Amino acid sequence: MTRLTRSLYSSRLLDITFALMGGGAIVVLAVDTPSTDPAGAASVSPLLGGGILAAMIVAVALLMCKASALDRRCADDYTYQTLALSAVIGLLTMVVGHALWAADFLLGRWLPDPGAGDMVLLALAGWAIGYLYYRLRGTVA
Amino acid sequence: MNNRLKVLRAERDWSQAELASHLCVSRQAVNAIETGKHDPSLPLAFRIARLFELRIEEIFDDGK
Repeated sequence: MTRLTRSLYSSRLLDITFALMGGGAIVVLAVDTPSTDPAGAASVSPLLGGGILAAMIVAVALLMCKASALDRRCADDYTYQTLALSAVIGLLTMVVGHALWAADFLLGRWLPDPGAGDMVLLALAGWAIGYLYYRLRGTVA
Repeated sequence: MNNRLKVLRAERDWSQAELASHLCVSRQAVNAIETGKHDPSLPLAFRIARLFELRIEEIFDDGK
């Protein structure tokens, strides 16, 4: 491991990156989303809507942490590692796939804009392909 | 990482499923370890070592 890769993968840098990424995502979702659809029949104030959304994100994420811990206890470490690694592939497939799909200078010029359902399908497809890849190739880097 | 799991299992005339049952893991996990496609966690490596009454480094070799 070189000095560059050591510093790129340092826990401190990752802590800061994830803190900014998570905090930023929650704030943007909480501030932007409630104010984009004020025409809803049961619309609430943007402040309340944002608060509910932020609380929901934190609650769902913590629930998923608990569910993942249960997975880890129930599955052997090979199965859990295969699932976890393929889940990362699913997530990255969704992020990169969305960028390629939505960008006007790439697939965006031919395809309609991806919807929320398309994002879920991208993630599920990536997860399944990642699972197949790690089952065939193994989890060793 | 190289390992002697397949040899040790053969010495006891166990199938992969039997070894998996002893270790409380799936048969696929045993197969993946034997073929070098998966490195076991430290707790599993200890369980394997205890089962065969050997030290971990007598079963697993990181090639260094």
